[in-house]
Amino acid sequence: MATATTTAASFSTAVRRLCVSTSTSIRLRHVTTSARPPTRLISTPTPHRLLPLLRFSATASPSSTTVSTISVGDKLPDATLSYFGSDGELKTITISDLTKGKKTVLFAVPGAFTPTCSQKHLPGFVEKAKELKAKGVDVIACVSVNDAFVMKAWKEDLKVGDEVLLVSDGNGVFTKALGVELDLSDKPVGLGVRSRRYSLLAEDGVVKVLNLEEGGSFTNSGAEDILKAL
Amino acid sequence: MASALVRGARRFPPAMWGRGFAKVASGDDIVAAAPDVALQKARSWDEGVSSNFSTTPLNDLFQGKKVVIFGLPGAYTGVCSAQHVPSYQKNIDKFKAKGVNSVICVAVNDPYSMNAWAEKLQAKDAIEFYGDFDGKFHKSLELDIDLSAALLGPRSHRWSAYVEDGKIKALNVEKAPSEFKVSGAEVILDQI
Repeated sequence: MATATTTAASFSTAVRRLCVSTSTSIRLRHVTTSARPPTRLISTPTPHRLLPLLRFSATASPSSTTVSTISVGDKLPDATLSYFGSDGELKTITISDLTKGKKTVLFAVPGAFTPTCSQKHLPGFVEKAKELKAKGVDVIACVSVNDAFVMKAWKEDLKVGDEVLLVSDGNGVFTKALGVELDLSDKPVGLGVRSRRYSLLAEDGVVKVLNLEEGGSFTNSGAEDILKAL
Repeated sequence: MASALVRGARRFPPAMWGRGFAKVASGDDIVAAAPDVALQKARSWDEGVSSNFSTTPLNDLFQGKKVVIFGLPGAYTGVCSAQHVPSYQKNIDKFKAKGVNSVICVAVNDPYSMNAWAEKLQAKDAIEFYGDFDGKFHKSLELDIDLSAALLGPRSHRWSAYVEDGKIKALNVEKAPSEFKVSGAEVILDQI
């Protein structure tokens, strides 16, 4: 789509300017994504505000009936994410690229360099990547509302190879479109608006399996749960 | 689209659209300019938990101290990692010799990313890293910049300042976050 091409071009121009010394500076417009179905209302269930900090490293907690915006049977909204390729170049990729005609496992973490994300969630998928691929999964991607630089550093820190793609939803656009924002702005943890933890299996962009956690708890969004569903 | 905007912008002289200034200037009180603002010291999650995710009010950072503070768009990014932080790391002894109590690096990042980055750069012993995770500090000083087009979201300009007991003695703001001309250690050393 023309929009996508222009988006990619303007994005790489913007980043090149940031990384390389030039003499121009400008407030660039927000990256627009290609047309997608009307976004649903973002629901911020009350439990989030009341979530104790312990939730982040909490283990078992029964997932109550949470109103989720994205649900099984929905087509994933398109959005542009960013990541660093193995050649060290900053690249963009759309949800469409990741899911069209493919079996895709997408999972989200509230934040790079935070405990559950670093110690359990991401490593779990790295470990099970081979098994997932053996069951026909084409792409495994981890999304977080962190910028691509931080995602790259986190990937290197945890020594993740190519089995799991770490992509940045830098502006939270995709997260917002799914209705899975986790607003931690009023909490002193210093994370701002992030994504709820979830994992999903999409076939040709349509959600077949969805495990959406309340906030950052880690009960059913691990790799084993997706494996079981395959 | 955006590239067309850039081409158009190049026709205007830098003074018209480039940022080389902020809301505050030399002589202003940095704490008064950003009331009710606190920063989060770069730390690991565990350290956060044990400190109850405490925040550091600006007063604690600046009152009665000689502080060199510099801000940059983002942890792990090009110029920030390759030039900006190293420039201060290299000159830390010169700063101490001039009586500077602390050298602070601040960016609109969460404290965990800042911490991991500071450790990677092995800069924690020389420089104190703080995260302005909600951007309030930079917004109050009008040093914020929208880098959504680079998928970075709201960030800060590249800047440096010398603050004595809360009063700004010198302030340098780059015209573009990708530039590194006036906000390095050498420039501010001369201004102290």
